[in-house]
Amino acid sequence: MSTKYALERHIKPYLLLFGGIACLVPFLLNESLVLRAGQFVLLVFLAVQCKRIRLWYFVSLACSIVFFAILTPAGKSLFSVGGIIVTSQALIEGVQRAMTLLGFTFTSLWAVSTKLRLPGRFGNVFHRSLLYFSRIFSATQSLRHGNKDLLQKAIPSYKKEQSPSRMGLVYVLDSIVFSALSPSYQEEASQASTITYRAKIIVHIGFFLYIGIQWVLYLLQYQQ
Amino acid sequence: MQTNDAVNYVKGNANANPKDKDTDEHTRFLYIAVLGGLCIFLSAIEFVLPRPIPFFRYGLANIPILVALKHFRFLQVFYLVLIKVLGLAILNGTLVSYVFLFSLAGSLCSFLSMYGCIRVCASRISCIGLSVVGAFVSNGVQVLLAVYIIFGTKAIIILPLLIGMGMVSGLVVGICAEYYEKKSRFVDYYLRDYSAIEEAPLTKGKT
Repeated sequence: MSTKYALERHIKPYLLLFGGIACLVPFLLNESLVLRAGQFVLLVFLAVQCKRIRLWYFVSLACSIVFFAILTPAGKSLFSVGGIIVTSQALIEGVQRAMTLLGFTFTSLWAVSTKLRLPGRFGNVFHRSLLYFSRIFSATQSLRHGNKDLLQKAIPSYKKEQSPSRMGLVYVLDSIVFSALSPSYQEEASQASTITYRAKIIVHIGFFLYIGIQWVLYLLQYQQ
Repeated sequence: MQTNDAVNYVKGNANANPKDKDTDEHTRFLYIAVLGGLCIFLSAIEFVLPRPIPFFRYGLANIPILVALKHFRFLQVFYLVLIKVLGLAILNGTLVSYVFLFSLAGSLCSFLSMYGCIRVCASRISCIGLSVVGAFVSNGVQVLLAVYIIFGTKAIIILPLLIGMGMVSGLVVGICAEYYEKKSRFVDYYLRDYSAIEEAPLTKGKT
């Protein structure tokens, strides 16, 4: 069972979100670079466990943040790279800034569940949009995999002898949207829930322990 | 035919009592939810497309917004913009991050500018014009936020490049939206009755 699956299955979306915020508070308040790096590693660890991450994107983002930070010299001169003098204060500031912004993103990756329901009329419209998205997406999956039975179910006007690539993009898109709106659309039966009480307790303990470690790392700065 | 059933299902809902404001309002928001689903779907498609530079985005998810601007009221398009931004943030898991802030700021500013254009120019502006204006504002706001929050003022040198690329992508998205608006059966069946231009008080002869 993946970590993301375990978190989303056992912990309520609002608790997950508040847990994420509870981790971000000590992370943002921490003034020690070393302890903050420890908190950052924990945030990255959980994010990597929960979602497939394109690391090159985050590495390139972090590098560009540090690069633009060192363009403004501050503090002691450390070394020179290609005519740019790297100064200590500018480097620390760049690393801090990169960690803050990426920390937010990595926290979001596990703290925000797709099951999160928003209140009010907007919440209802939004929830319906997600429903239509999943219908549109499942219809497109059948296009990709060439499953003609599924395709016929998703696109009512589709004939089996027709090749999807010859239907035209707007036509395909329209047909998928029409099928999503159709009252006869049958939802896929959701998997039977087999949540055990023990697993739920273990996941909750692990989750609160994780938040606790973040706070311990924050409080440790006062011991130094 | 099942397609027509779908049309009648929603249209029937709208026509149940044309004078019933609540029913009409409900149907409008139902269409907005469909367009919102389409926005999130196009965002997901964009996610898998290769990018020429790391922070560049095509903006395919703006196609339904451009179409909606011509057919719906302010609040409904505003909902659609929020659905696009929130949907992407929840699916990508960036709700509690700077990405969400940038996306929200860019999308809201571009929406306000495009809505302003459609109120002033009414039917004289096409989806292409709207898209270019929206892309310019959205990219400008996002790059300025990036410069002042993330990279620092030295990064202002990348502003012309990103805005230039954004304008090109805005043009392409505008052409796609114009094509979709003209060719789409969904727009033809569902949205023709709802023209924002007709409802705009600034337009002469219409209420």
